[in-house]
Amino acid sequence: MATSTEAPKTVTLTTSDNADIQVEREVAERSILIKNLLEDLGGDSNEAIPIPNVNEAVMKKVLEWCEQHRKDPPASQDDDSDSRKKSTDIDEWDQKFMQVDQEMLFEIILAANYLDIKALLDVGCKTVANMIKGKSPDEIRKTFNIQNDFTPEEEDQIRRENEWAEDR
Amino acid sequence: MGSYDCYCAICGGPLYTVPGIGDKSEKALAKRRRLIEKAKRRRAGEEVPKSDDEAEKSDRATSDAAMADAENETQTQEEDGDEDDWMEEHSYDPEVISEDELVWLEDCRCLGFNADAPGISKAFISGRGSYDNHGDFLVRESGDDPNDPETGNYSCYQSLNANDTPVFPFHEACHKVLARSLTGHDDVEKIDNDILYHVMAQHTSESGTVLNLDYGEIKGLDQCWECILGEEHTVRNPAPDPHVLHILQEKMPLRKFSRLPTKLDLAHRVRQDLFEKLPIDILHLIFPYLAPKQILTLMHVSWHIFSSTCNNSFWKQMIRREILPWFWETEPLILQESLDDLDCKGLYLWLDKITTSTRWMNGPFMGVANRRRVWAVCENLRTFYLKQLAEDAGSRIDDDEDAQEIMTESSSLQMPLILYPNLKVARTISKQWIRSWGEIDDKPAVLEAFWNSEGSLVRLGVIFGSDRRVFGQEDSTKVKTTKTSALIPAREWIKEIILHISEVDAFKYSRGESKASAKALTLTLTSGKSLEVLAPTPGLNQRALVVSDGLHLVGLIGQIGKEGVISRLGLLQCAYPCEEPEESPDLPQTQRLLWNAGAAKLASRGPMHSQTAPIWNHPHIRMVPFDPPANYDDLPTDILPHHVLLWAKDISELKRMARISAFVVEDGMTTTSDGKGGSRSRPFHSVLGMQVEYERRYWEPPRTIGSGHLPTPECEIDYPRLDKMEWADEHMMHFDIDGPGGEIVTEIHVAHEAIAFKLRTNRGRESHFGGPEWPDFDVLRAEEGEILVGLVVCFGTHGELSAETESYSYWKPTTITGLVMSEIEEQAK
Repeated sequence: MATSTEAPKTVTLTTSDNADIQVEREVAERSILIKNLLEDLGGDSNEAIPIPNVNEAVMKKVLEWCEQHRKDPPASQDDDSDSRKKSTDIDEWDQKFMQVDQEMLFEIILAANYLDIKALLDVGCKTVANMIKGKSPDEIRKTFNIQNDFTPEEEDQIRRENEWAEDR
Repeated sequence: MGSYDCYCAICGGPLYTVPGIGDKSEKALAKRRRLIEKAKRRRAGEEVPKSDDEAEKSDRATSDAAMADAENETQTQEEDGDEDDWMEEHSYDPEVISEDELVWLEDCRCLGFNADAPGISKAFISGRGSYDNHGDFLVRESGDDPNDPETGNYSCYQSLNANDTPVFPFHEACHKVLARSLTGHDDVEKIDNDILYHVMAQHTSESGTVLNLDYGEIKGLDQCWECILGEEHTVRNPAPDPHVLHILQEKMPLRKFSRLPTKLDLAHRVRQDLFEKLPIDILHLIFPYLAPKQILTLMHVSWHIFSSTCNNSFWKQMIRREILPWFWETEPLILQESLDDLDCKGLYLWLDKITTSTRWMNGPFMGVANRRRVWAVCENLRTFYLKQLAEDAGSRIDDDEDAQEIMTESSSLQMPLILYPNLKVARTISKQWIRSWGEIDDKPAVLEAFWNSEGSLVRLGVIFGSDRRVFGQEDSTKVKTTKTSALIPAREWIKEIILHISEVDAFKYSRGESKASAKALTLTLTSGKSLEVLAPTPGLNQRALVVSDGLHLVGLIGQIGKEGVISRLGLLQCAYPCEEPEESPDLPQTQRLLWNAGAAKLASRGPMHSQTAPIWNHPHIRMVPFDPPANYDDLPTDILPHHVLLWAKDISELKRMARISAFVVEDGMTTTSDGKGGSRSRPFHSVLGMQVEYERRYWEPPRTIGSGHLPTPECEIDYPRLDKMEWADEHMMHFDIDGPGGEIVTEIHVAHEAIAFKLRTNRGRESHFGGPEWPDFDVLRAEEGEILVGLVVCFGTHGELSAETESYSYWKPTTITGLVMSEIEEQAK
């Protein structure tokens, strides 16, 4: 009773809130952290992999991105990544994917950073940058829910720290 | 249209030295200082009366009111005063910029496109030149670029001439800034000019005087350049300035950017801040996507970001990322270790401040401030440039040395248009067909052509074994296509690719609806055998791409137009490594033209033989070369077919000729002087078609070219009226020739723009076809030992607009030249 087509290999991930998520190995391996773990564990381990820093909701969202990008070529090394301005162009699918509330957006960024998914981390950072671009200080405060109890003098002090004054 | 300026594609500045330095007299300078003072006060929000001077003057006028003479004088002074104001507002401050500092604006070049350039690269950087009004860039010196066609005039940004492609002008200094942005080096030769040309063409503004990019704070770009007071920095040379380093070295220690650690600690006053979730290393990943101003705004609103960035290493990185790329003079200072002893935040803020372009800016950093502005434009271009470079690199990766060598050695002699209308913004692409020389000799190949739903050629490829190499737009695979193919046996290869191109419809042309594209394809193999890849339907014109002697076809080069249709196509050719190729094979003019189908089948032997040869490869008929029309704004010459009227395929046929006739129509009226001080109107005739007839005993039917019937309004095309007989006698102008008696045509006289022409025989008789009486003609004669045997006519100028249908309905001649054959050779036969 042999089947000629093998079922794709799957792995189980256990999230911080103890949910088990079964996912195709190729999809999970978009995460360099998981890929390295699986390699360390050897070929056919059925053990669930604990992901203690990511909860179920965020993990599902991250895996949705991995599924979409499962066939992407490995990220190329950007030679001058630190010295140059970067373009904030995001492809259409990713833009829609990132239409989440700010809390979730930040959680995705943290998860991508932890799981070592560079392309997703980049998309997250670009999304945050796009939310800041062209906004006034007040608009940024509203967007990212920033509330301070600074006195006008303290506000003024911060402002002065951020600009060049001849009498400095 | 009046005068107008085009501007530097990179900085947006003027392409000549603007005569805009203001008056240096003390009075003028004082006025200028007052104007600046007031403008600055106004900008600071102060309410300043429109003109203090006016108030002063009106006081003075009132006090002098009693004296009528004096009042008149005051008025004169007032007028002078206003004039002066205008002059000061529209000129540069002589104390801020000198004439010498504007000289760099003169050093300009342009980036152009030359479809006939010999290599795979078609773009070129011209020699030095400058802007020459009305959109023209005048190149005065020959450049070093092998693709550079010649000195002369080029159209900036857009071209009204259908045969020309526009150029993008720039300053040499800006070109170097761009090179640094695109490649990391000052060396402009490292730029891929083909990609840059494509990027610039994509960004041409509607006005066609500059690119459609954000050039920052620069207001001088008007119809003609405006020198605006306080904008001196926008015309300062952005090139590196050694003087700036000295000033930096002097000023930086003086300013003592001693560390001023912030004493503020306001963490306990923060109620909520989402950014607290993000550790500093992730913030560092976000900042490169933001402009420095936005980063500072973030620091202002988020205490978390403010406090996480209060360290020298962050600001050192900010200087390296945000300042160093364009403020090259700081490099020796920034790379010094002593930077650790400085307040890097303070240093960053200072460097940012001194190089920010502001109105009325002055001092030693104006050039750097202008470079910073130009850099932003370059970085914008860089985004598109790199995207294209990455796409191209993907298709160019090649580890095979043989294949690489073939591609490096290959050249292309022409890349004609085969699509109309063609896209203004098309990218040149190429595809290598032969990757090792053995493939030509040993392997059979399959040639595949792909046609879209309208029957236009979209892709063209070869298959060797299982390896398919296709020229064309890859994502056009989405478009539904039909494939046709032909087998090229081993030891055979392609000598000619003949594209069969549809004709532009005169009716639809005026409505912008006419189209022409490649609809069929045939090949001539190296053995001389013909091969049909897709058989042509009647009426298609032929464009032969012929492999030059001594060279071999190794690939294709061209451009892709709308929906993946091939818009330009040329051959990539290469000599065998062991064969010495000719220096630069010269392409005969017959191989550069599009031909009516009749020109592809000219008799090539005597009357007893039925063998034919095409005009571009004929054993004994030669076309007298001609200059294509210089200014041509109707259709590109590449898609206009040339017709051949061969009145004698050999000497014996000359003795059979009875007459040459033209089918003419009235093409409007022309008014000429009657020589007695008056004028008279006469109809202006245009030739639509030509015909040659032979003596009856010869039994040869008349040979014709062009059209032999009246233009049919489009509404009547389906039901032609019976009175529109072909070659109807009332529309014919005949010229009888006594061929049997030995009369032959010896001269062809062609008027300017081929509006009229004359034939002259060895008996001194003349005919006049088309136009009114015309004073000047270019005379074509056969050379010694040759005889005229025919005409080549291109019908490519539209006739009168029909009032009835509001469309053009026929084409009249654009160019006329002669065909000759060798008399001696023929007589020997």
